[in-house]
Amino acid sequence: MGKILTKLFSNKQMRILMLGLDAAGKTTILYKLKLNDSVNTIPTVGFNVECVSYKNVKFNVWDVGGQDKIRPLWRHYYTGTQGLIFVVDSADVDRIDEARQELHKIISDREMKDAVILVFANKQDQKEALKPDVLQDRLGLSTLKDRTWYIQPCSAIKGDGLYEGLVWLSTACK
Amino acid sequence: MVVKLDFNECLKDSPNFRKNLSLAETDLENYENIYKKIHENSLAFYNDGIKYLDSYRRMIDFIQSLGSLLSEKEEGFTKRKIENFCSLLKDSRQCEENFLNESFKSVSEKINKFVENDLKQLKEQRKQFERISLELDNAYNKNSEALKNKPQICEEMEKNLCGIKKTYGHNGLEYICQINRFYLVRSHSILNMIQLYSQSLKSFYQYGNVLVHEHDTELAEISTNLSLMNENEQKCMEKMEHQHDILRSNDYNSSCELSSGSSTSSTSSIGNQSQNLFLTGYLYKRSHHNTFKKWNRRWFTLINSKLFYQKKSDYNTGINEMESDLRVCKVREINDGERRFTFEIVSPKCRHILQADSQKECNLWVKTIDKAINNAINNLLSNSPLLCGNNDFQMEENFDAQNDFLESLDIFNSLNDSNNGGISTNSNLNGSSSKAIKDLEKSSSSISLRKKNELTENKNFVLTTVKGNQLCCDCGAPNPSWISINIGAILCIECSGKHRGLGVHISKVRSLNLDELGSETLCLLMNLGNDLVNSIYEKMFTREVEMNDNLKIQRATPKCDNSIRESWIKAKYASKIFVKPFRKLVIKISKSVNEEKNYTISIVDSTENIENDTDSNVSYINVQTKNELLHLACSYGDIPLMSYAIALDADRNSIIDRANLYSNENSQTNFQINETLNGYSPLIKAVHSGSIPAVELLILNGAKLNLCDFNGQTALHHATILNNLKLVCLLLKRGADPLSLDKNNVDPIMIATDNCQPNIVTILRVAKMNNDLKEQDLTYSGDPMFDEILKDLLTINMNNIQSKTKNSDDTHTTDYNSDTSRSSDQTTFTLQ
Repeated sequence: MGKILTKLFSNKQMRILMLGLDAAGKTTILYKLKLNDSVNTIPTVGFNVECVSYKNVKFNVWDVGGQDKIRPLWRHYYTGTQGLIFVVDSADVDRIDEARQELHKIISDREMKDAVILVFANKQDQKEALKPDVLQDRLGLSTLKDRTWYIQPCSAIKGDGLYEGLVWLSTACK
Repeated sequence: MVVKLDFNECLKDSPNFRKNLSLAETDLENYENIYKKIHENSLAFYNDGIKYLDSYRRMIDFIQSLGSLLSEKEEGFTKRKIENFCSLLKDSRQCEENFLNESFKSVSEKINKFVENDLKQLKEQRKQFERISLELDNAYNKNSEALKNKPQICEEMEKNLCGIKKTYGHNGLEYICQINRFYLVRSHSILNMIQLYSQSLKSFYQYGNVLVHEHDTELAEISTNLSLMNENEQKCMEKMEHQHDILRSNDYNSSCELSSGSSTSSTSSIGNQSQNLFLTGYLYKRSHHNTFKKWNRRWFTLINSKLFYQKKSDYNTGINEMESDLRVCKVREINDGERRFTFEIVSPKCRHILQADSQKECNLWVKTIDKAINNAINNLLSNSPLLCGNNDFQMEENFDAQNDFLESLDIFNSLNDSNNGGISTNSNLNGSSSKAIKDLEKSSSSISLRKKNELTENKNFVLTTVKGNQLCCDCGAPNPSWISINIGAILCIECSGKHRGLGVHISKVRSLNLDELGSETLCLLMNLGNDLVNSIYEKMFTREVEMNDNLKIQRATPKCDNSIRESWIKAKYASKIFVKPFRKLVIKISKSVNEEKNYTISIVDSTENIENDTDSNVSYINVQTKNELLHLACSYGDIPLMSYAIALDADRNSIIDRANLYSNENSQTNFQINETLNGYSPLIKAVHSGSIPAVELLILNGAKLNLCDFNGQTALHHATILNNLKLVCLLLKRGADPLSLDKNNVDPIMIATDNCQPNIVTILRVAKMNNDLKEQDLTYSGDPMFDEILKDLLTINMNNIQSKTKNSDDTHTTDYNSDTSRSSDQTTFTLQ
């Protein structure tokens, strides 16, 4: 019986979609999680997909490129997504507004209505970076109703805060 | 022989006559026999002729049907020639038929008539003659036997004999007459026959001659064509033999069908620009069935951005599309699988696992599919939204080319005919509909199309004409398509990755293809360019520096190591160790005689010749700090000088506390700059210069939009006062506050209202409303109309800039041209 239970738990899988503006750090986060190494990334044209196992949960993370013109392709990846990771470059103050618009566009889609939302306030290592509580307001998260969301400050290069985000995801998504 | 029968002899009935008669009779019999033989054989000849003509006709029919097998398009010549040849054969056959009929008539019928009629008559006559001759003999005998004593009998006998004699005479004469007539006519009839026969023969050959002559031109054509064909054939054969060589030279492991495909794909691998990617070959495909992981060998066709597969045997139907939209697919090799040479195509819905026959093929497939995906993303994005995301063929400007390409493939041709060929019917449908949509677009939104064209034109201009933009700014790789918009450098994708790592306060990276760039940004990029960027950021990277081992910084190259690239870019843009350090400068400002360019600004290298300069159009300004340099550059909207000041880390938001920038005291000019203490930020000064790229450059490099001068006025106030609609739009787009109040509690809207500027009032009000709405509803992403209007108003016709830039090839790195896109009606600087 115990064996079956552990088997069930170890088999927990989550389909995670990771989006955000270009150069927010999505690919760096993905490979930091996968390889625990800060690889040198180039802009993602298309997407990357990797399976990240953490604490008996298998996260299937889809990391899709964020340039202006390929954002309309994001909706192709919505189906079946249990968790959304929205990555924000906390230091790119000029484009916080743009990020907010994109975030709300994604989560208002019908196919994403059940997905839990994790916002990675990335690049906290930079001195211009906005703090998560500021970002939370600027991104309009505080006003969200009926949604499960969480904002996690992190630094993809250093690896700070990434696993905390995954832990939240695995608990938020039952 | 000719036997002459005499009538007198006949009456005498002499042995001589009899001898002659028998001679004549045997002659006649011989004659008859031969005639019969001729008749027989001519009949056989005729019948065989009929048979021959029948086979002949059938042969012609089959030759004709041979022609129908040839294709009209490629073998049209041969087809036509076959038709002509068949008509010739038909004519000649007809001619032979006529000849056969005539000759038969002339020979056979005549002989027949003779044998049937004349000879019969003659024979009857002969029988009669012989009977009467016998009777005459009897009569003679009886007469001689009559006895004297019976005078009555004697008389009777005599009478009888006399009668018979008479009959005999008549009959014999008739008989002989007939024989003689026969001899008389014989030659005549034979000759007649010959004449008729030879006449028909002659006409036959004459007609044939005409026919053949008529065919002469055809013959000539065929022979010339044949020699041509021979040559072609030879060439083809040589080529084919050559192909065998290719096969021989290939290692036998790789399948030959792929090599033909790869030869086409190699032509298309020139760059991203080329549209035609094509690769075919067999791959193993793992079935999606969970229980049976069966591997099936399938024929795969990659054509542009579509991947199809089919069974070897199902060549009529059974063609499947792997994924409807390659833009959301990823291809990569599988390294941890059980089998060798495997790779996967991942889409949000599915994971396809494929296996090639060799590592070489596997690499080729992965590389080509990856390129196809990239192409799909880069090219099909420019589609109208109607076609975007459609599951069928996505057609765009190269639709026709693509279609031709499809048609050139037999698979797709055959598919067009079959009813269940879903793909091709879709393509047809979609093709026509996409054409219709294209037409619609053309007519309805020609304005937006024009705008779009202008943008692409400007984009191309940035890439091709601006100096140095043909190679990556940092490593020199060809065909760069990424940009750092605030620095103005055009980069390859590898270097762009490094730039992104620097943080947005140093470099803001965008893609020329995948990002939507405003025309103001493009305008700025036209004024910058890699040559200019490197003249600032690599100024101190001289050969001596490069050779210095202590420096430990190597210039990046297209295929250099990651760490080299990273440290190079960090040194260049973050530490800025190659930027020429600031020292006190003298700036020479010469008023241009040319009205279009108001000023030429340059850094004076040595101060020696200043004093001698008495030109009234020239003045010199001493620059003490780098902030002053930025202020001065902004005042003139001089992009290169601004870039230099920015590279020096001049404060973008400083306010000059010195009242004046001193002009050279020795100068005799009234060209003195009299600037009161107004607290203008560089941005406000750039606004005053009227230069859109200068304002854009400042904003992108961290100038604060809502910074006030001593009167509490922002850049937007100033742009409104200056009545510069484009600058108002640009500031609003970047988020300037239309409601900010100056010291007199006046906001830009009030200024515009007072100055009667309806356009500016409208755009300011719309911006205000837009901001209000955004505040109320955080999910509100702004009025698309507002964005459109801003975009429209900002679209700058850059044709004149382009032509100017082309002409000004003689610029030195230190001799900076003042910005050219400044509108000429703006007063850009206060002159006294």
